[in-house]
Amino acid sequence: MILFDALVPTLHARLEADGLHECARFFNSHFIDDARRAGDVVVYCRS
Amino acid sequence: MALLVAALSSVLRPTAALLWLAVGAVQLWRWRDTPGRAAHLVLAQVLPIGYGAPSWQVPKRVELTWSSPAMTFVLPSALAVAVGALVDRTGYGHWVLTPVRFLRFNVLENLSVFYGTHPWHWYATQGVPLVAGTLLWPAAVGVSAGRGVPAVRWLAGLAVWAVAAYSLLAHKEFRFIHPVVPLVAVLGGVGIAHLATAGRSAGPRRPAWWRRPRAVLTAVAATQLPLAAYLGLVHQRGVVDVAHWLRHRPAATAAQPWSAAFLMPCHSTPWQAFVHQPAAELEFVTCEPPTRCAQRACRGMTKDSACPAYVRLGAMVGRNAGATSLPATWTTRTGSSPIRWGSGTRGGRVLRRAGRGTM
Repeated sequence: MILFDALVPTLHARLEADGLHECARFFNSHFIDDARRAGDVVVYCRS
Repeated sequence: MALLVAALSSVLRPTAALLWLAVGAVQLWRWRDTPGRAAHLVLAQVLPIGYGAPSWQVPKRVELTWSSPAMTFVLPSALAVAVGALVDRTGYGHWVLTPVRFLRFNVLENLSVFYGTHPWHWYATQGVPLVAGTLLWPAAVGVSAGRGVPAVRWLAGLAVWAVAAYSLLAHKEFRFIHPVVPLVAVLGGVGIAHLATAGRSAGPRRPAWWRRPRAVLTAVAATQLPLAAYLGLVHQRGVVDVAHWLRHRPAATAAQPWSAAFLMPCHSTPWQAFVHQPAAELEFVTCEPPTRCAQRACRGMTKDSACPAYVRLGAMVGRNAGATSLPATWTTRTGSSPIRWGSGTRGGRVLRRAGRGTM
């Protein structure tokens, strides 16, 4: 599951409950005009 | 050869055809006293390219030469239409005139407004300054100093024409006016060359920097180059890096399958053209326009309001992040295909899948 940091607070607990854990993180931007795309790109994997 | 380059640019960016329309129209006007040449240009070269550009058949058709004049005009055009139609038939599985559909969808039905609108002056006040940056400064000098030079007037006129024409469309994007950047760059070169020669002896009515071309050049380079490096190497690199990461995962196979879902606004990352994992199951939230209710029902809607399913997913992907939780219909589960989307995705094709063995 690949999402922007902006969505992590909303989904983190749910993803963890489903057995997914953050396994990779990529820097994306210092600033951006779209709040939905704010922050790093975060990957949750099934371990 | 020039027309081949024109065709290639139109393939990469269909809206680039606008520039070539203007160039072609002026060329025809110059040749108005020799109708034969003009007719040859249009029928034997421009029409085949214009129609067939998306089909990559351009070079063969342009090189076609026949002894009879009538054959020269008509056959390549007919061949172009036929080959173009056949290629599209193969690709789409049914008969379709892609250039007509492109025009109808984006211009006549104006469905591109689904992806957002900007005021008429947006390109002039924000688009051009952003894509051209500090190059605008020497370009203004070039246009001002080269007023009497036909080539300068021609290039400047072309840039103005393109920006004016794109401004008529309600849906505007920076990338649409990228064809204007090379024109501005050439005009900027004219401006700096002018400062380096005539500028040194400019009269007192001119500002002091007119006599310092090296400083102007340095200032332009010192702003443009770091910006280009930052935007090209740092800004929004994560969405490419993650696709790179997926690409270098162990190859998905029938025995060792894996899947990935991009829970992001549509088209945030590269897709299989970059990932090259044909056996991996990839999904992303789409933002396809409401073609089924194209005419009346969806007027005034935007991509975040038009499709009920998108609204749900749109909320989920963070527009109102914090205020919403997952829709009840959205579930994850374990198994061979770990991520499932519930029935809430009915009402619109919300997910695009790249299943095993498909592109």
